[in-house]
Amino acid sequence: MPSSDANIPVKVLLVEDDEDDAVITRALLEKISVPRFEIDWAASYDAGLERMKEHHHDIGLLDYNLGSQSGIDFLREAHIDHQQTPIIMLTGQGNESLVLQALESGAIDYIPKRNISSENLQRAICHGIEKIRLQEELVAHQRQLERTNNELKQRTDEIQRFYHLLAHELKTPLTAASEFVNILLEGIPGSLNPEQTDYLHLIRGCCGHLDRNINDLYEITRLETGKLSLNQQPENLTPLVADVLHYLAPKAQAKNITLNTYLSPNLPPVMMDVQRIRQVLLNLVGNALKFTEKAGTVFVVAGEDPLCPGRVRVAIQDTGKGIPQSQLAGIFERLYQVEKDPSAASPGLGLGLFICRELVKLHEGTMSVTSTLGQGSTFSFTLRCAG
Amino acid sequence: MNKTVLIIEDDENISKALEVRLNARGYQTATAFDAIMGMQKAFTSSPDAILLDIAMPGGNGLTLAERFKSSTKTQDVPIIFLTASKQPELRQKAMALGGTAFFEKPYDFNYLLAALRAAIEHPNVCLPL
Repeated sequence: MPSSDANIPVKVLLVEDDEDDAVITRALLEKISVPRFEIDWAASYDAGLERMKEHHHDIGLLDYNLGSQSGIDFLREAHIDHQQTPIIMLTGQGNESLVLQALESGAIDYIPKRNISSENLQRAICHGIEKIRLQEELVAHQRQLERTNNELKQRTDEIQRFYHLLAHELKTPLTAASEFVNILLEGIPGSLNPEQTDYLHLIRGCCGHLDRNINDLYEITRLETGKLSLNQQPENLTPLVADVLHYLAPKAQAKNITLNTYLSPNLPPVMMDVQRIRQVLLNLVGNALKFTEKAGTVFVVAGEDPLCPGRVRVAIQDTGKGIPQSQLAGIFERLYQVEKDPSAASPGLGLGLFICRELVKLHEGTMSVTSTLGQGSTFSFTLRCAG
Repeated sequence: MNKTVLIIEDDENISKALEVRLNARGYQTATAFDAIMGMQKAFTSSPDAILLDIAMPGGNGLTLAERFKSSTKTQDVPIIFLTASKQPELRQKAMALGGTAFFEKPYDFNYLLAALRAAIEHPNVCLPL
């Protein structure tokens, strides 16, 4: 490609077997002052191909009629030979099918000979060169994007491997720590006084919290690297909700919270990955219990969504203190935490609701929240009915 | 007669904790901290069940399980897998190799104990845990 410097001439290969036409074309090009042209004239089909192989040209001007062969043959042969010089076809015939054929065979433009002028040549050559420059730039950008994409994939895999390793390396000592706490709590090495027992319960709680945080971090990487896939089957929600509530019943009892359900008697089966929806329910009901005061109520409701046929809506209502409207909008965002209340329990990493929303999204469902300060909050999500 | 549980676990702390809690419940235990020692103990101590960690020096727990299931000495001994890894495909692989149950660390010891009891009493039943 020529430099943008106007002093460097544009190298033009002129393939023209008619000497008179060649003289005219040369004269028209020489009339142009910017850019300047250095013309390499090949007087035959074969000479043109040979020059193209041996020398670099910024652009080629190619006559259509080259003895027994045509400019189209020339273009095809040059293409087979991997020649990259951009070529403008000069044609005396001007017929549309010929133009189309020339462009399909690799010409970047054409000029009917009857319209040939310095201005037309200048415009076509400059456009041609610019077109090729832009094409090359585009190809370079595409290659750069491919490289970046491959690098990102590699980084994603590295991050995934790192989190596998991290989870393993954190969970091993965590398991040992919580197991020895349990051994002490079971009184195996000897009896404990009440204060010692309380402290050990605190340590056990901390171990559980740390485990949940490790799991959340791991889930986030799987979600964000697209490695989390679902095993969706038609399933009934009723036994799953019962199982989750049974699991969380001790937590509710510890705060004297009433944990109730109302599941529509005609609840249809839904498409779900049971383990993942279990995870969503555990998180939402667990949050409701966490943020509901003693002697409050947490209610799990499920039924066909009247506003959205073919969907079941599951709602978890609590009688907690509620969430300010200003904070509801971002509540499902990654690392979001409701404004820290100094009296509240540890808010966690702010990943739980984000993970829930992403899991529901993977099920093609939606998640939402409504809340009234002083009265409580309702988190709900939808799932597709099976069939 | 007390049942013997072979604990093949490279983390000595977890191994010790399992030993203490199992002994407290009347089980006899044998321990191995790598795959080779695990094989030796499995073939010599006639365990009633094996608690088998997956990531270990000197060999993978899955490979070891394959070996146990192909040996006449150990093919009927129930294997309960333990792992700190969260790779989702591990569970399927472990169960496909004839594992009786599969626990992620940190495990709930009471569930682990229930699985162990069930595995010893009904060695051919896989537990959906």
